[in-house]
Amino acid sequence: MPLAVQSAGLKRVFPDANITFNKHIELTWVGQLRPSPSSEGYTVKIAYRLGERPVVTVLSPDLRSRNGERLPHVFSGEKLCLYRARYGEWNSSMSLAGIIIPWTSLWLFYYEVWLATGEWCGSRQEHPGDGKDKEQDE
Amino acid sequence: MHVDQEKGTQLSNILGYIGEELDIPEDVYQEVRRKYMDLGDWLKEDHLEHNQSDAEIYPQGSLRLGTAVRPVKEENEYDVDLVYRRDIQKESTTQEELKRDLEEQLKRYLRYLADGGSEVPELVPGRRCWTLDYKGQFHMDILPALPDDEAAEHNRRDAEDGIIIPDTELRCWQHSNPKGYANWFDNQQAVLLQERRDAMAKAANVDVEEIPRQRVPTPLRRAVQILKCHRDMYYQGNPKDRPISIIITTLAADAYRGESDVFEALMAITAGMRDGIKTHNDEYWVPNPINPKENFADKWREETQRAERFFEWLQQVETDFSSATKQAGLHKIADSLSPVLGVEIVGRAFKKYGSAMDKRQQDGQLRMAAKTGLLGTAGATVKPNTWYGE
Repeated sequence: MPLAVQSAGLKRVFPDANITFNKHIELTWVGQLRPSPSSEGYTVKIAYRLGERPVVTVLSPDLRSRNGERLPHVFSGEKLCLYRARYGEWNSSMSLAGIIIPWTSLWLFYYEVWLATGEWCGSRQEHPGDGKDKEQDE
Repeated sequence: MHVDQEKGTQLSNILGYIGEELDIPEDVYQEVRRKYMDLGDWLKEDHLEHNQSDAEIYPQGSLRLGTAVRPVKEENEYDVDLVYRRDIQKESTTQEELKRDLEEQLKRYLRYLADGGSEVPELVPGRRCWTLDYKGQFHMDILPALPDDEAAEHNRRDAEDGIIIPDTELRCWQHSNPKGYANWFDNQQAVLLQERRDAMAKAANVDVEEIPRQRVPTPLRRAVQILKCHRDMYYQGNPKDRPISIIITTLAADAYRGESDVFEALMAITAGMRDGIKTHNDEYWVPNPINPKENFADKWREETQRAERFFEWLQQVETDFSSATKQAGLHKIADSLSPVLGVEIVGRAFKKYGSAMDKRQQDGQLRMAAKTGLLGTAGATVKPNTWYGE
């Protein structure tokens, strides 16, 4: 899906968010997500290069840790991990607005519940080293 | 205090899960029911044999109302309050004799249990009742009672259910009507109770009669449970001054105006409870709705600090729950409710809340709204995914 089409989709769903392009190969989206009425509002950035895994980060507020525990389901640099590429859950023919952003909102919801309880309530979860990966995800 | 509708609904959802955690677990409830029905059947037969008249056992108090709250400490047992009504004349007996008769009868019951290879509880005397202690599970307080031949004088309604019970000093008979009170309580929430009971019956594909009224999770029932839990935590260091449950339950049911979600009910009830306390001749009154001559707050006369503490406690309830609505972030709500209701209960409730969201995603029922990213019933369906990373 060309970046222009991704951008149109993002604009339709989040008309107030900010989209910038870098030389037709990278799209950057910065918008606000509030996963539930009593949740915080999060400023989220998605940096997407055609053909690569979208890089999703939370600009504000700072993500907290819980009793010194590591933040669950992130890559280094606190990039949110929203799916397993090897299961084909997302690829560049799919929509950022329709798939990646909903997963982001859900990640933020589970993050708040994790801070409250210490548990990640998303039932389909895997971790590196749990025997389910032979190759590294990119 | 105006709270955004969506926030209020969400908080009600969470409070609903807290209420679930406070409830007697279903398996314990079924076990309690099985045991007291077995006791009731046996006592009825035994009484007929020995006294040639009828007798019945029925639950009273929080078990009957559905307002029981899990004990704060894991190892504490559930309290089960039963009335054992015997159809004999009060002139034919005394309070001491009533208590002795019950002891003998229960001893016969224990022998019957032992002969049948069933679990035998320990028989423990109380001041005016006897207790069957099923160790590690629950204990049943059995209060002997007689029909009240002066019921019409002491009961504004349901006089046929009026009873007399021994008092703690075994001197004067006390007039009581637990069935009438329970009917009054159910009546205060009649519409929603009926609605939700019907819905539960439909969902379980059973007759409405199969769903005990006290197991239907209504806003009033949940509000009372939450208030009692809040009271338990608040008075932990000072248990002697705790407001008794009947005062909380009565004021709450009286103040309830049919609110359809727990949070709204809680806020309305807390505001209304203050007005429900009357004063006559410089005394505080919480009249028994069945027998308004009885004052549930009679102890406040001698122990005036109980009245003061009660009003302070009510204020704290309002503060604590309105503070929860002002938090931005579910973790902050959890933080604000944990010291108030207990960190384990709140933690478990939030886990259930999180898992419910997960189930909706797995069932294809979860959507994300445009513009806000709000997860709910509007917008794009959230596809299944696998959480990975560290």
